[in-house]
Amino acid sequence: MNEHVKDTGRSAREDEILIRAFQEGDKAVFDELVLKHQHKLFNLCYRLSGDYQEANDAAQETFIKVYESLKRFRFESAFSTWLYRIAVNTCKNKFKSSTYRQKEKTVSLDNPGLSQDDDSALEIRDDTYSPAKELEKKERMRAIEEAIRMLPPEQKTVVTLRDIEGFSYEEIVQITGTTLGTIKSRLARARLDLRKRLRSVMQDELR
Amino acid sequence: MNCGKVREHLSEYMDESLEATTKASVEEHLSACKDCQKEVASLRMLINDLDSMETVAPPKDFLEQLHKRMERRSRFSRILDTLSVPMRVKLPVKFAGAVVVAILAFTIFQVQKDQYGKKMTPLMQEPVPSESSPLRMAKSPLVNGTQEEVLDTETVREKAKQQPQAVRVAAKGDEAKRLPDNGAKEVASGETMSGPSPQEGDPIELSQKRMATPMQEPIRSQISPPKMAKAPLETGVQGEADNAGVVKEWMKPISQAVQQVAQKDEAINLPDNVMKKIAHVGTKADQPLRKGVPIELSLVIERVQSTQAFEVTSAMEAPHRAQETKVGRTLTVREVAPTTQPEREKSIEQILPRLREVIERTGGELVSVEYEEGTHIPESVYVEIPAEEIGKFQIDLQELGELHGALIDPMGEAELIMPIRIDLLTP
Repeated sequence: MNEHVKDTGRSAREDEILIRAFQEGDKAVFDELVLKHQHKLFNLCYRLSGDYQEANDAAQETFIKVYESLKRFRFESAFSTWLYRIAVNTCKNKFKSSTYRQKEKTVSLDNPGLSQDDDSALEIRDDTYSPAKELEKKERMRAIEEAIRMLPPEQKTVVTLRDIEGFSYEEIVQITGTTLGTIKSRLARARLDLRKRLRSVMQDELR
Repeated sequence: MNCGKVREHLSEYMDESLEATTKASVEEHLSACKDCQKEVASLRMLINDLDSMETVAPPKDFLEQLHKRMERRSRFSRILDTLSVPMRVKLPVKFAGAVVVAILAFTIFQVQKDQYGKKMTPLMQEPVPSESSPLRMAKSPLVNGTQEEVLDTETVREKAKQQPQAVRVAAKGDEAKRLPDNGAKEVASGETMSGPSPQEGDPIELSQKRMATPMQEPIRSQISPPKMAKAPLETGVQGEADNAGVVKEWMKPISQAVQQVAQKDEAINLPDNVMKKIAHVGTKADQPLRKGVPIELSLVIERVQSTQAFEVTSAMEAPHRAQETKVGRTLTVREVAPTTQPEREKSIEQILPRLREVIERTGGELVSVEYEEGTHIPESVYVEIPAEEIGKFQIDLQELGELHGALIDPMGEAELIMPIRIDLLTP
């Protein structure tokens, strides 16, 4: 726990140094910020949008906004909080688009980037290769992904930020702009929803 | 505590964020209740699973893609930037657009008479997005639309130097014939506007001064087509049927003001009745502000005329039309064959930079742009505007198109930043 806090502190200081350099005119520093934050940010966008290409668009759009506003950044919050706030809003607006809602994405094992292992698709289909436990774990993961995807946007955001990305309540308050009470209740509902869905999925599979 | 109550608290319990006495009650119940223990276990497993989910990696060339995207964007806005030379004029934003359109339209007509012998078209014939250049001319430095700014020749000169100088418009049309002759003599804009930046008087300043005298006539003749009147001045002029008539009425104080400015470099004061009208628009309240709830607006943007498509190129890309300039680049706007792009796409795409600018002026933020699936057409934008700027923001928006949605009353909520979603539509 302490390590995490130390890391966060160090990370924030690094960000500050980079940003101040950028504000002094060193635009190239922006690339470093991107490289530093792109993985976690992309992952967040992926979880929130459920689609690889959408996630890519959202993440890029987010970094562009950051670039455009970075010289005005006043360090009133941590850079990462601000970054994720922009990302969450960007993804939220993608949800609102009717065109997005129409294309209901289903989990696909062939979704690029879903698994680091390129043979995963093959493994799932062929029982003889993977041990039962491994299969079960993968199935469960797939079920969880699907269940998350089905959550209403606000619950999805909170559970992603808290349980997947590991942000603190305080950070989530800053990122989403909602109150602590609201976050806690959304999180509780989200976790309950997920458990319900997973139970029914698992039961189907047992039949 | 009973099972129901305990389960309500379980989520917080897992996060160790329960207050001490509540936590004690929960634990006491858990020590005796097997069912609730199972709930806890299942919740713990879920949280562990979530925590150990595989991260999805971005594409390996993510940074490269980002650079390309940024490059595309900046190229486009640079082109638009160079079409406008900012000018600090002390006018409410609402009128500045019309004034500058008039100035530029005037200029365009003049270009017809210059030695290049190109045929001109009045600016009005151009699609609305091209108006963004003249509108931006007045608008960019106009921060608050208040009456406290003064025409600052130093600033103008400075800004003119920073940016490429000129716009030469070359297009067909016979509207040019309507230009009165006295106007034609005065503006040497063909030369000064499109030539390299002279060291002394900069182009804008020059043309401003020279145009001061004949201002009234050209403005009337330019503005009378209803389309022209509509775009910048539609806002808030409630219940006035005759656009052309309204425009004339509005324009008189403007033209006088511009003359004053050009000649004396002094502050302009618009007549009170004019200011009152603006204020009235700004504070009309249909819907009070509510914290945390985004206001939803729609902006109907005028359609680009497909009959005359214009292409903006830089001198580097169109060498046969290039002008040797010592400072900056010359941009040519030339007519091309009608493109296959839908009118809608062009109108909306080109509204974005102007919208950005409007937002920046309020000190607000363009948080995100939502694009239609699979295209680069912005569908809506999500912005955050300081509450006290909302009134002005709406006025400005109405210059970009027809605004639908609740008109917001900014009173009494000064400290708030309001989230607003604006849907971009075409008629």
